[in-house]
Amino acid sequence: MLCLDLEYIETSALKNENIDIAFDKLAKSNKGLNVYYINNTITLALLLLIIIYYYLLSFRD
Amino acid sequence: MLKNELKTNSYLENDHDYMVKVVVVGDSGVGKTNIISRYLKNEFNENSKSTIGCEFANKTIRVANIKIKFQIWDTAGQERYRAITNSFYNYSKGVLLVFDLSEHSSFVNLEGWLSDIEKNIGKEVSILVLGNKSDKERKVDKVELDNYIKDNSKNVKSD
Repeated sequence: MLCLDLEYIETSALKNENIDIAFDKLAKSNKGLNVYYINNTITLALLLLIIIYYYLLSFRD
Repeated sequence: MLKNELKTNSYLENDHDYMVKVVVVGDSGVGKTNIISRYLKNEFNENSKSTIGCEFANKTIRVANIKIKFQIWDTAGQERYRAITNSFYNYSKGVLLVFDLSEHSSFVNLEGWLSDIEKNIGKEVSILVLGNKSDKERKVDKVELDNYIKDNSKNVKSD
């Protein structure tokens, strides 16, 4: 199964219209980047939880 | 022109978090090379010649605090280079599919380019259709265009 999800922008290289917006949109809509961002966020959240866990453990003594 | 950009940017800048390979495709003369040179160097060449084979350049941008390195591949639009162009789709994560708003045939030929993308890339790719030369007299009907994008956005094909 293959699903092509298209987006459309009108540009003018001559007048420099929407060129930056097009590349920016391509970067933000990149599925691989979203996975990378989610993975990084999960890793950071786990690290934070571990730090909090050890911080709380230190109060037991 | 793009080769100079490669010398100045590619090997010196390794400080990126994520690399996105982008392939720019579309009929010959729709303005692919000028779109790239406008984006990279804010330059426009009215006497730009047809790209032979393929060229590539890099640019690093920052999105949501992530440094993204664009590896932008400028391909030749001419039919005789089509076999070479197909080999450049490998590992690409984004496609800029360009057509000329003042040349209806380039819009009609989007179908062929989409078919090539389907054959050569998996579903993990973002496709952005660019209607270039919006400064010129428009030959592609807006309703026809909207319908085309709408139809293809929902187009799910079985192998």
